[in-house]
Amino acid sequence: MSDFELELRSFAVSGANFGDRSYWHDGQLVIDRETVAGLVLADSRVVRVDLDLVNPGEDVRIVHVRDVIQPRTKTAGRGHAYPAIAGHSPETVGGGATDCLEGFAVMICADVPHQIRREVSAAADSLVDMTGPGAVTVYSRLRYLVLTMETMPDLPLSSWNDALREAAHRVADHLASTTAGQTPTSSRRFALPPASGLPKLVHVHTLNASMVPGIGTSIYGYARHALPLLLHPNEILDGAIAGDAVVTYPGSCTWIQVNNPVLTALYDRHGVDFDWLGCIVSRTRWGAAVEKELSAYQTVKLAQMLGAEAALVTWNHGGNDLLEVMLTIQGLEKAGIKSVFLTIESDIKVVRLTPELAETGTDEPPLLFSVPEANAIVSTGTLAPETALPAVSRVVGGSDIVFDQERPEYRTPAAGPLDLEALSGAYSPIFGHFDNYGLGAQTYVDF
Amino acid sequence: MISALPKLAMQAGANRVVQGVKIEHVCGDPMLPPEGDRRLRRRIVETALAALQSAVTQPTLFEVR
Repeated sequence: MSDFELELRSFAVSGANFGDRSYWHDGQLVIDRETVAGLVLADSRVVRVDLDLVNPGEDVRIVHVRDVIQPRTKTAGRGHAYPAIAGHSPETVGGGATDCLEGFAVMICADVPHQIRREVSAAADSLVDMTGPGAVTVYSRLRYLVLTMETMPDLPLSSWNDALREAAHRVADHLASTTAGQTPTSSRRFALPPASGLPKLVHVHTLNASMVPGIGTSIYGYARHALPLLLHPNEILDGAIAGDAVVTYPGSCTWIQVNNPVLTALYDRHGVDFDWLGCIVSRTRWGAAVEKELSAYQTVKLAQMLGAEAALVTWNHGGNDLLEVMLTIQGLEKAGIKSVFLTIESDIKVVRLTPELAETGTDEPPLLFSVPEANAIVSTGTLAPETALPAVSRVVGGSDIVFDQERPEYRTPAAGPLDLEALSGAYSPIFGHFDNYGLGAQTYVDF
Repeated sequence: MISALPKLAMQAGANRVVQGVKIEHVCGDPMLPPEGDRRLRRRIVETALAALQSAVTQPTLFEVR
């Protein structure tokens, strides 16, 4: 077996309940509340936790969502799932076997301490509605164990992030271990044997890095801006790219990294339509124009050295990140590497999408910046509810929402109706609304 | 306009664009000693003032000297 041959064993969760011990049997996940609470509170920085189970279709609104983590565990092969964060080994992952709980996730919820709201505008509030017009993202279709955590006051940013994230990973590791030795619901082998004679394709997986050092998505725990890196897709399936508990921009969520449909779609066609060489992960949101250019040049160079003839370019964010993405596409095309770009229509002001707006768009361009070489673009659209969100009967994760990060003292009761367009200004607070990889529930047909 | 991202500013149609330093600090560089930062800031503003007095027919980039 090669170092990068991975058996991903999925254990479907069709129901989850609390019980007196944690186990998985025949699609039912039973969770021992006391064990989980003990794991969360094992770190004295976390002073309180509420545990809630939430299912798709329930009249529930989850608020203060900070991250979503799918329980995954290595059962054979090197390293630890979600390596190099939360105390896990930094050893290279991507081979052997990994068990995962399918359709289920551990969700981190926490109100943002005042000083962190002031420090990080990206530590904004977000929500997930499990039913109704706001249930437009993939996050309305998962079952959750929600950990609503309160931390010691005045934790510095990095410590707050670590405390929340480490607690959630302790719980995720515990739940992932419940499937040990059992027969999975389904299983798939992921490997990239050479497929000679087919066009060589690379996935240029651009990935936002936070302008605030130490937070945001990380690669093997490394969150800062850095030059592009080659990853085997199986490393990503094993959690080499992870989110944090601070930045709530949709593309930074941990769940989406390991469930990125781009990876499985490329695997489906490897050896059939092309020879997939792997993923070049390029960080975006550099602060200086010259850094953006450098990152684009180096990404193109790696693609050339790999012998790529074609590239699928994706991104996980919005805004000025598009500069280096577009410069990369320009460079790839100039180097003779045919490129296709998969993107949201990054018009972030669409908080409410009416049929008229879906038809005509706003008066803003769908992309902030473009180059003539970007002539093959696939749109995943813009996710937004058609109407205001109705009141709900149960709220999990907190009781109110801050819509304006500049004015955290203004709080809106979370259970009531929410006219997002009136309340939230530029950014949609719906967790996952940047549907960069096309997993949302809305299609053009809906409009 | 003074912009950290002139390509974006020019594509948006800004006529006179002065190359700024970085998104986080467009008009200066806190990594420099205070006197160096002051000189840089002055050069950027002087470039912008010179740009304002230049006739242009299309979006034009002015490098800070």
